[in-house]
Amino acid sequence: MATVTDYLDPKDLSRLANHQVLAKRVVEGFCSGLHRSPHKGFSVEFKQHRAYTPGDEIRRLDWKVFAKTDRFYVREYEEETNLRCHLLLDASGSMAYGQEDGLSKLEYGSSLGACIAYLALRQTDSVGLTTFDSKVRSIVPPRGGASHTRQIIDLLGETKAGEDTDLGKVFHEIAPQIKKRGLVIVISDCFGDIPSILKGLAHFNHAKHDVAIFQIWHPDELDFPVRSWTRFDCLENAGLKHTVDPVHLREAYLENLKDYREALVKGCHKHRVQLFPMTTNEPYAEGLASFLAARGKAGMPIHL
Amino acid sequence: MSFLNGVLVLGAFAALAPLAIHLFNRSRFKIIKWGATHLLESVLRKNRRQIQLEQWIILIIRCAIPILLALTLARMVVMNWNAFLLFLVLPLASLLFLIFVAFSKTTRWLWGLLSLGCLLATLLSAFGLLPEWGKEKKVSALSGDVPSSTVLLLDDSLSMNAANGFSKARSFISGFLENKHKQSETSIIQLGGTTASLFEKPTSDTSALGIRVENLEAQGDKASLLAGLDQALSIVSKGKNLKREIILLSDFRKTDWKEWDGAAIDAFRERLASTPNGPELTWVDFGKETQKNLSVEKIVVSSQTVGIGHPLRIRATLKNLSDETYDGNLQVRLLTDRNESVLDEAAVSLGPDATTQVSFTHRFESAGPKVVHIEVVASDDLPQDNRRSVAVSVIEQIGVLLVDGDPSDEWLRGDTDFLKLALTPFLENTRPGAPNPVGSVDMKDLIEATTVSIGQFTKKELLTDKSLVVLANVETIDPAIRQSLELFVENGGGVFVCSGNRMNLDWYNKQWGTGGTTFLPMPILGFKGSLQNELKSSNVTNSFFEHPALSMFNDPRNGSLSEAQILKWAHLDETKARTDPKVTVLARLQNGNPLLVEKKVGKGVVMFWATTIDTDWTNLPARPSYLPFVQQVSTYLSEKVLPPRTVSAGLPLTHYLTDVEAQVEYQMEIPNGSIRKLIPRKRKDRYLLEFIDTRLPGTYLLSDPEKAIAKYVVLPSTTESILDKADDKQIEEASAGLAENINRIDGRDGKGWDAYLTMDSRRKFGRETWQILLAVVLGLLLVEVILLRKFGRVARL
Repeated sequence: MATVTDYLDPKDLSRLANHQVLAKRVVEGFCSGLHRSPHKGFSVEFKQHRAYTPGDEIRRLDWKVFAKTDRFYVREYEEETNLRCHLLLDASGSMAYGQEDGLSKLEYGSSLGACIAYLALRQTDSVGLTTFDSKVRSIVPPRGGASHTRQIIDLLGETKAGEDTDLGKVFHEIAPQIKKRGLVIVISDCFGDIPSILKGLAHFNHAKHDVAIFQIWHPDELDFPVRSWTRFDCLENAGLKHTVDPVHLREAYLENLKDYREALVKGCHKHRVQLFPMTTNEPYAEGLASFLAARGKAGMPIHL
Repeated sequence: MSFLNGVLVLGAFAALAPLAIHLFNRSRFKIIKWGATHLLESVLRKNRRQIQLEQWIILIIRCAIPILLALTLARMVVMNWNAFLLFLVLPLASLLFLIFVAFSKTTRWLWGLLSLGCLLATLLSAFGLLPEWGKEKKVSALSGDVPSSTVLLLDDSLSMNAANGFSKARSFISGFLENKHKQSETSIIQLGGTTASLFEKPTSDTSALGIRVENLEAQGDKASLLAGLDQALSIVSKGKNLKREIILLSDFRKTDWKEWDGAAIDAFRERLASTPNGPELTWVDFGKETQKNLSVEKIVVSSQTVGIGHPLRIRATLKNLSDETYDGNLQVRLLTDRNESVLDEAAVSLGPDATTQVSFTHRFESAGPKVVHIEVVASDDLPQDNRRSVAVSVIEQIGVLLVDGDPSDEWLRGDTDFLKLALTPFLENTRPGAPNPVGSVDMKDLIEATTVSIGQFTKKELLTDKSLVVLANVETIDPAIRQSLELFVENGGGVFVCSGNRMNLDWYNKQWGTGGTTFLPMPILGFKGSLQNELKSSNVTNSFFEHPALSMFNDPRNGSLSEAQILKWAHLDETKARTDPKVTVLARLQNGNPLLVEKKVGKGVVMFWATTIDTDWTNLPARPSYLPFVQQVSTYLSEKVLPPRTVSAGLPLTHYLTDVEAQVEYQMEIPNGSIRKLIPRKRKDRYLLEFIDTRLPGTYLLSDPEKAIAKYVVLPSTTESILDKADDKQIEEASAGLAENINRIDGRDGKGWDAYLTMDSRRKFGRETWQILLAVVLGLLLVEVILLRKFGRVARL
């Protein structure tokens, strides 16, 4: 059985302790938290004043307190929303790359997902996990509470790399299932047809979800260090094998890779999706810290 | 097309290596489970053909490099330069267009067509289907433009002097050296007598060759044509240049072209045929027909060693090799050493194609080495053979004591009578009562012989002023004189013991055998043979005598010892003597028994003659060889004998030295004036000087730091005087046996060089290709490196 420590290094956690998983846009939540509620009504009971933090609505400022104290405070009501975070973990065959010489992309993504889930749950947000390949495989509905971590971790531990990928189709399948607005974090290598992927992301956008993609790469996929005659066996399709002399391929492959990444970045930018590339040889905590810090700066998208 | 280093062509098989490596790599690949297949697949889908094309281009280049490198190292030579360029350029162009196909997108079809076209043109050319391509044509490089490796065989035999043939040959060589290509290398081999190369290795140094040639003279013996051709072929086959030639400069006299060894001719022909890029052969004839030649064919002297004041009889044979008649007006002179004043003269008659003899007598007034010349005073086509020489040694008189073991008052009945007669022929002829007194001619013998009977041989004073003691049939020796005699030998004197019926074998074996002083060379076992039964007689074995005492009998003109019959002789025990380095057997009988044996005792020598020195047991005293035999043995035992001083060209010159004399430096002056140093060496138990380079006829002077100690005469072959030319048919036959095609040039009128130039201008030789091929190899290497960096960048989605 997987444990928290399989995925969460205490050092990493301590480093990330001060970060908050901030939703960039207005999301719905079900308990008080740090996130703006899309609801404008004031029918709920006043609970307390809270010091103003950048991003809070101006209309919630209590001017009387300001007049008295010369400091800005917002009113908190009982119905303060919390973040509903949906983790979508790609468990297709391509995510298994890297397991032969260390950390596979799936393992890396699992650690990353566990960390995000922990942080969210720690700040009383709710987190759900969905694993998928060409279709949805498993779902842990979003819930809060420390005990929910165990469910997340268990699913992460059970998840093995599966078959081929169809991100677009899966996004279309998942989007309608997320009723309330929230933060959708996709942990994937995004290998697939880009237009299809972008269409799927558009579906999330339509539902006003805040979407972030952690694109996981293995260094070999970025550098293509193969030199001698090699047979490339596709991880998602056992029948697909290519025997080539890589000397004649590398340049073209890298060009192709560059074009692919550019298209994805462009598409994500268009759909207001944050795309954050990470490689398995970088500590995920550092990458996540950068991501969270960037989100802390009024949601500027993080460039590749 | 041919190759200078043909075996290196096999290196072309190295072209299989890149192919094998390519196939090996394809079969041994590693397997990677890849995630980003969609990125890879799109590259492969769009560029599979491109990738295959690039792989093919690299493979072609990698296979071409070893092939071209092999052809470069093998030094390929082509006769048709244009065809070579075509076969090189077309495939390269095809490869180049193929590379353009790999790099271009829009005009691929054009480059592809061009590449295919070039390839097709190459194939058509290879099969000769294209007009004027692929067929052997005359070569394109002018002979004069091509450096050559040439060997000049120069006939410097004596006959080349006739009609200025040798000076014309020298002029030819001068012209050749002046006009040769800068990178050409040349060797010159002299053919007279034995072959001799001017320089150890072929040289491009024209001036050095020219200087050496200018100083050459035609003094050699009969030309060694076959040996010279063989040596020339060995040199030229290692030549560094493509154009190779052997040029023979000779007078083509009949004597040089007859009696050739058929096996040697076949061997040369085979070698020539199997030599890769074999040389061209050119004969240049400098021998004009001659009308008139006189020569001194032979000189015979009465003795090679003569005493002071003793007459030396010199008889010369003259030959007239022309149609002219000399009726008492042919002058013949006698000269000696370098003193050109005439010692004696004679006028003789000589008819056409006839020989005659002329005799002189001369007495020398001082001791030392001398050379006597006979010269014919006549103007003819070859003046160099009008003089012939002989070396003579003039010595002081030798004192010899003859001890007669069985004296007799009767003429020639004593044991030493024959011996004394032979040793002192002049003295014997003048004594009263001599059978044939010579009269009032005052002649002195070389040897002064004193005869005593055994009874008188008791006082050691008898040994005073004597160099040799002969014991002829002596029974025993008085003890008092025996010790003196032994001491006499120890101090350098010689003793000659001759057998006879009176010898007391027990005394000899006991006193002078192994039980005594070992004075005798071998113990005496007894006597063999029979005076009554001639069937038991024996003769001296007819063999080559190495010992100086008998070496004169190697020349048949001095007679033969084997003609004497030996009826009885002492049987010697040589078992122990075989291992004694001081004992030497000089002559044996035909049954193997030693006949003449010597032993070194102290500084002197004891010699044992196993039969009698008179006619008791042998008829040798009655044979002509008896006199020179006893004279020679006597002079040897008296340390006065000398090795031959007059030899034929090619034979070694020898001089014997004592132990003291061997510590001195010596030098030999040869006929062309140059000096050679000689180092004494030891052979068996004596020191000697030996000089073997006697290819030049003439006078050789041996001297120590103070004076001349010996003079030698090396005689040329008398065949050099025969100036008959070999006819064309004879030369054609001999030449055909050597090679298929030989260029013939007539140089008799002095225009041999011009004729050669004319012939050479019509000749062309193939060109080497290694420079171009090497440039192509280097170019391909560079292209491969560039292409490996460029390939793989082209594919884009």
